[in-house]
Order: sequence, then structure tokens, then C-alpha cells
Amino acid sequence: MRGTFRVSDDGKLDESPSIGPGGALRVARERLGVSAREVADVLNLPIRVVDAIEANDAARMPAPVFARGYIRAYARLMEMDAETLVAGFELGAVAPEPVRDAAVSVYRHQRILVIAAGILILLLVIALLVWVVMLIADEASEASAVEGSPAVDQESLAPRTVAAPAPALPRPRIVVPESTESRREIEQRAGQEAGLVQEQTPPAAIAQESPEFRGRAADALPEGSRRITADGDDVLTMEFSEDCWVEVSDTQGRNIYSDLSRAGDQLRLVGNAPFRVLLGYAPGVKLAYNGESIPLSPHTRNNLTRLVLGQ
Amino acid sequence: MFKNIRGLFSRDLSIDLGTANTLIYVRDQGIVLNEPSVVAIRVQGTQKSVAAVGLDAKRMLGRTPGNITAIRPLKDGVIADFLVTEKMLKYFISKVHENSFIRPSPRVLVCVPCKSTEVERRAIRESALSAGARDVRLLEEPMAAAIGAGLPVQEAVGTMVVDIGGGTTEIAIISLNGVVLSDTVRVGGDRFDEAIVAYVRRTQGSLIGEATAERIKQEIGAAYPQKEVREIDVRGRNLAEGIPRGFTLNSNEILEALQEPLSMIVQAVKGALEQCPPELASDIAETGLVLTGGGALLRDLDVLLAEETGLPVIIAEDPLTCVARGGGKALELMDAAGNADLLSTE
Repeated sequence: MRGTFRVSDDGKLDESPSIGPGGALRVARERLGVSAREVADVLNLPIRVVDAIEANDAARMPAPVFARGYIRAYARLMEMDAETLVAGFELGAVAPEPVRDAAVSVYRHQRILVIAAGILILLLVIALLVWVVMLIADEASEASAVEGSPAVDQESLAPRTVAAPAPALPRPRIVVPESTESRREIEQRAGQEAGLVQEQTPPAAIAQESPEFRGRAADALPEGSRRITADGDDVLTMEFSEDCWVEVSDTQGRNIYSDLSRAGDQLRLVGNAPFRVLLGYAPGVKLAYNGESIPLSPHTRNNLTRLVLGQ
Repeated sequence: MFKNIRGLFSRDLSIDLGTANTLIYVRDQGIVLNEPSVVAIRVQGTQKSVAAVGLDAKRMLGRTPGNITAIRPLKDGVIADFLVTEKMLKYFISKVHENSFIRPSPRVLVCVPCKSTEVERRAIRESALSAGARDVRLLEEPMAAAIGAGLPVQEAVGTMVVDIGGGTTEIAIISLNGVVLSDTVRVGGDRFDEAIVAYVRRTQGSLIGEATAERIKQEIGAAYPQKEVREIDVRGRNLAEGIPRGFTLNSNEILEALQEPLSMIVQAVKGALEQCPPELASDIAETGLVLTGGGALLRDLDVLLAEETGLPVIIAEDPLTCVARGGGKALELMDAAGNADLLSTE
């Protein structure tokens, strides 16, 4: 039992050894000369409930909500302080929830919002970092692609240019030249041509200097010219005022020339048309085909020119 | 979808949309709002706007200039003015969430009278949805009151609840989470006030307002003869002279004034007991009936009912908030059981 009660002379409750709230009610009832049965009749309660209350026996009372109501009614009948008596009984019930102010919850609610906002900001920062890293990686790969593309093409070009035209090479024409010069003279001139070309030729073009070409190239190419197919006399002339990547392929799409030309270079390619020409930076190039100047603007988009010549 | 996102920043609410007062219970927090169901409407030309809601609006009742009308949008426990109810609910919901920077969209449980029609329930549902709720559930008021009072509603034992509200009195016998028997009488606190106004007019020849009648009821009103007769000084407009006059009323006079509405409540309780199945009647005879609602605060109403019915009558703790608290607990029970329809009527 929580608390002990005694009924004083003035009818109020005082602290006293252990009669409990039920005992206090019983003392008050006896002082008024009223029997437990009469109390039960007035309150419309079974006599055993009145007995249970007076015996402080919560176990014999009904559900707490009813028990508290009965004790209040009994206390009011005895003109005693009902709330003190109800508090004295251990009824195992939860006290009614106090009315709280909405502001009480503000802190918790705001804390949840702050946590949510924090998570959101963290995710945004992570996303931003990932984006920046990806952007840097992309730029690096693009740069390496531009710098490395001649070398890569060079590697891929070498076996292709050597292997591809080889079966189609008109060996008899090389073996039996139509000119009146002796074979030895021709070989000497071819050797000189080859040495000259080798000095000027970038690495990409070296692969083209196969022995089969050497004989044909030695035929009649002027200085600074480069043969890109085994036969043919179509001439592509390019003058560069800016650095520009040049690719020439045949009608079947096979790459027969590719290199980066520098500003001030002149390039003269001799071969069998048609040629598919790709110029990486059109404004820096003047192109002529068999001596005829070719306007690039109709074939240019974003400074990149693609055109087919000699069709 | 936006309502669901906004719902993350909202709190589940239980609303006791009463004729006299609206109470809002928030889960894990208790009652956070208890304001009169009154809205003051300002009329400018053809346009109407809300001038005040709740306590501020109630102070205006009977004291408004021509362009402001203070109205009660609920009558007899149901919506009488849909649009104004919606405005009022929106105001109350936002007031509960006033610290939230996102417009709230809470899950709401609204308590409705037992005998409300489908149309009336639909009006309440639509009103709450329009006020921003993302999900609306309805629960019968006596069930909410019983849960709020702490009655063992889930047990196979009959318990009787009498919820005396502002507009209606709901009587229900509950067992196993369900309403076995229910009845509604359109008598409540407002009817008590009207009876006092009519009595004063008849006996004193003076007219008093609703607010004065309510004050008289709260201060000296009683349902049973008192040992000590109490008095109150009141001022009203004398009907014959047309000027304000003061007079004194005592508790016995008010008891006499309240006889008619009180006898209606007693008759309704007796009627419910008469229809009660015998097993449940036995349970109720053992435990008695529980009074909830603001009407339960009328002095010695429990004594009157105990005398009339011969049953133990107890007043629930904090009877005014029983319905709202019970609604909140019902929401928790539904979530705990994982069954949203455990107690809900729809």
C-alpha cells in the first residue's frame, strides 16, 4: 500500500500507522454509524466490493477504472478527499496522460528533420564528388586518346597497309619497268628515293615503305610526295596552317594513311582514287585534288571534314 | 505521392470533432489542442474569409459586428457547414504542426457519432481529406470514449459507456472490440445551455446569451438536489423594459431548468439497458456504467443516473478528453495489431 491514513477528529485524513485508505473509509463509516451493507446499497455496489475496498484488497476489485470510480463514490459519500484515497490504492493502473503542449515535441520533431537534412546533404556531396572524379577521368582519357591515336593507328596501320595491298600488287609492273633505264639505275634511284623519304616520313608512314612500294614509288614521284596505294596517279595536296589530324582510307574503309600534320607542313599523297578523307581541323587545311582546290565548308561540321574524292 | 512524402513530416492525429470543442491527440504526445469548434467568418462584399478560429472566435460569439459572423460549423455532432468545417480543420491541423516547414499531411482518425448517416460520415471524411489529411479513418465515439476511459473493451465482458458531448449523448454497450448496442440522443451540453436560457426568459423575463448560460451551468449547475444551495449573479436584457438588468439564480432553479434534457438522457440510458442482451446486462449490473464527455462534469449527474438505474455509475478520469485520447490509443492498437480495420468503422 502506498501511504497510510487515519481519520482525525475533524474528519480529515492524517498520516498514521497502517490502516490504509480502505481502513480510513471504514473508520469514517463506523463513526457515522452506517453499515457496509447500507453503503453498498446507496452506491449500488455488491457488498464484497465494499469489503474489498475497506480491506485494501485491490485483487478482489474489478478493473482499475471501475475500482477508482467506486472508491471516489465511497469517499464522496463519507465526505472525504477522494483523490488522496484513490492515490493510496495500488490498482496497477496507469495514471491518465497529462495534456502536453505541442511545443514539447518540437525538439524531437526538429531533430528528425535535421538528421534527414544532414543525410540529404551528405548524399549530395557524395554525388558531387563522384561526378567530379568521373569528369576528370573522362578528360584524361580524351587527352590520351588524342595523343595516343597516331601511335595506335600506326601499330594497327602497319600490318594492314603491308598486308592488305600485298596480294594486289602488280608485281610484273615493278619487275618489268616500262622505262628504258636499266634495272640497276632504277634500283639505285629507288634506293635514293627511299632514303630521302625515310628521312622525312613520320613513323606512321614508315610502315608503308615496303619493298613492294619502293619499286613503284621509285617510278615517278616528285619530291615530298607519298604513295599510299600500289598504283594510281591521283594526287591529294594539303597545306596546313594549323595542326591537323589527317586520315585517308580507301573505298572499302581500310586506312591507308593517318598522321598528325603540323602547321606549315605540306602533304602530297599519290594513289588510286577514290579516297575517303578525314580532316580533324578543317580551318587549318587547304585541300586540292589533282591540282583542283576543294572547298571544305560543305563537308565540314564542327571543324571536322569528311569527304570522298575521285568517285 | 506528395502527400506521402509530406506524411513523413507529419504526425498521426486523433481528432474529436465535437459540436462544442475540438480536441486533437498526437501519438506519443497526448492532447495538444483543445479549442472550441467555432469559426468567425468575415464577409466583404461577396467574399468570405476566416477572421478567427477556436478560442478567439468563441470570444466573438454574440459580440460580432455586422460583417463578422461567429458560427459553429458542427451541429448535433455532425457537419452543418462543410466548407467552414474544412477551414477549421485545416487551421487546427496546421496549428498542431506549426513548427513544421513542410505543409503537413497526417494520418487522421476522426471520431463520429454512432448514429451518423453515411452522408454525414462521408462529409467528415471529405472535410478531413480537404484539410490535408492523407488517410482518414473513422471511429465511433463511444468506442473511442471507452478506450480513452481505460475500459477493457477487448475482453468478452460487457461495458457501458455514456458519452455526453456538446450536441449529442452517445450510449453504447461494448464487448470484444465492438459496439454491441448503441443509441444517440440529440441532447448534450448545448441543450443544457438552451434550457437555462429558456428558463431565465420564462421566470426572469430576461434574455441571456449562450456564453452566460454556459457559465451558469458550469458554476452552479447540478443534476441532483444539493445540500448546499449556491447562487450566481447574472446580467441579461430585460424583455419588458428592453434594458440590461441583473438578477440572481440559485442551483435549485438551474436543476429545475435542466430537468427536461436530463430526463431525456436518463430515458435513453434506460432504453439501452432494456435492449441489452442478458449476459451483457449481468456484466453491466456488476461493473456499472461509465460517464465520459464534458456533460459528465455536470455536478451529481452520476448520482442521478445511479439512482434512476440502480447501477454503479462512475465518471471517467478527465472525461473531456476521453474520446480524443481513445482515438489516439485506437491508432496505436491498429498499428500494433497490424490491422488498420481493427476498430475503425470503415
